[in-house]
Amino acid sequence: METYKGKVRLVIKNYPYKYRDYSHMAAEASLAAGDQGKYCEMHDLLLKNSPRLDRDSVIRYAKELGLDMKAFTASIEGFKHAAIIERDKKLAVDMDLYNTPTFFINGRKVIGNRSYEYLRKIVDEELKNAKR
Amino acid sequence: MKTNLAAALIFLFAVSFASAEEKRFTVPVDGSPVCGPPTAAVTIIEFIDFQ
Amino acid sequence: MRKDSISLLVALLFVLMTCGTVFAGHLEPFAGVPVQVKNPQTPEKTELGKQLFFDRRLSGDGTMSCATCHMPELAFTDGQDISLSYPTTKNWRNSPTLINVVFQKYLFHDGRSKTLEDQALFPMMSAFEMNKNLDFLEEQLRQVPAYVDSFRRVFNGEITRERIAMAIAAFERTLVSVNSPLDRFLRGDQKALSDEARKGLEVFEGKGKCADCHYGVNLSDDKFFALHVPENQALLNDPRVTATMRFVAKVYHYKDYRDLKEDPGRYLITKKKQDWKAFRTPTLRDIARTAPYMHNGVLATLDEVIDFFDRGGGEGNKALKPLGLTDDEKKALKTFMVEALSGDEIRIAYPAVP
Repeated sequence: METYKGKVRLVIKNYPYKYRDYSHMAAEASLAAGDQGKYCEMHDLLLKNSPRLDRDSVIRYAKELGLDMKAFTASIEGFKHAAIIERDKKLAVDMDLYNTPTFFINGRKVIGNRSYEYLRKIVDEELKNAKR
Repeated sequence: MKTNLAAALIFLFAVSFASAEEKRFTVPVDGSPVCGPPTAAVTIIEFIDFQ
Repeated sequence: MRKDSISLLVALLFVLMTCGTVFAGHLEPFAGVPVQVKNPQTPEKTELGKQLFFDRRLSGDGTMSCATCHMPELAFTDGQDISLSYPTTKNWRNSPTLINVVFQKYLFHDGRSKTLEDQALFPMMSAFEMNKNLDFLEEQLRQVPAYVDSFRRVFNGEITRERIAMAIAAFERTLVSVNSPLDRFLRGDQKALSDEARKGLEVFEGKGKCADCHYGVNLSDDKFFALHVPENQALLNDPRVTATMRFVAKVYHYKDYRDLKEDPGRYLITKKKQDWKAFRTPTLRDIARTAPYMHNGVLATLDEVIDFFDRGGGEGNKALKPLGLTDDEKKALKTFMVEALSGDEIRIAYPAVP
């Protein structure tokens, strides 16, 4: 992402897998951080530390980002953003998506965990297209 | 406001490159978190599970 | 008329005798598929097989169907170096195309199955693929009235795992590469190939030695060779891949499975020394559509593949020798592979899954 600063924008849809234990809470945590203006920071932190996403770890990440802990904890414990997460999940199923991650790079579908080089190639193609 | 612009941008891309070989999908982005500037030439939408 | 019923007609019209008239180096045009005596093809059966192929009930968590890793749009592969896997696990090999599987004597990169009926159940049961308990699957499908009816019509009996596999196999046998420029050329249409592609064909049969193994109608000898393809770096040091590898090795009674660090290939199945790291010769039909290449997807493009063979394969292998192709010859060879070997695109009308 950093290589493409200013050129690439990331839109995040939550698609926590139903049988994973910490998936939902991690999604809640990211959105709770978003309420305090630190969504992207939390997003990166969660990915970096995945799969260490148990409750204590997530709270530690929030502290690292200097979030208001009372609001953050209340948010993840109250499943405050469940509606957004459910909406995203429904969208995914409606689009017949079942794999995470799935990317749409300017609408081009890329399924599965790809290498950085693979994604870079597509992003570069799109940047080139955009310049024309 | 930001997110509306995003949707419009994606739509534009979807249309302008419709002739390209690959199928392009339109994904609604309203009300979803965004990282990066709204003016970016490339929009990546990720369906993600952090775990 | 739908594509699969056309293929079926073709199959009925041209009865291909399978007894060995195929010689190494000799390319043949498509002239029909072998008739299936044990599992005869019928339109109802292939249609049922198609529904099952796209049915996510076949996976443990209901997220995957056969089509997840064999997508019609990607020539029945998933386009990844290493195949997609059951959520939270990792696969260790490339998803092979299903095009022309009807011609294969062995299935899987290590050839562990000899029939599609045998093959089809493996990924369903596999812990790192679809992870489905087959007893449970049978009971689930028996609760779907449309399937109960279809199985009764097609098999004159109830739903069993064997019949599920038979129907899927019948569908997969309709996925055939037909009407490629090579087919037309071999039938006598001199104009079917461009000059460059014809030059490539000469390299293919001559200096490039490709046709030594890639011959017959399916451009494959159905044998196994240890070419010492480089390891896919993504597979090394990933504990999830190690778990997958050792799990498969254990299932195949590989003695030191707890120490295994690399893919033993066909050795797992035969335990013969010459099969250590050997993998099946794949078809080259529609090869331009099935990147990335090799059993571990480590070669991303046909250029890389041609360079690999030109070098004489991987380090220490005894199957290949350097070819010394010129840049022009490599270019022509690639043109041949891209232009000549792609058949009519197989378009699948997605079925309504009951």
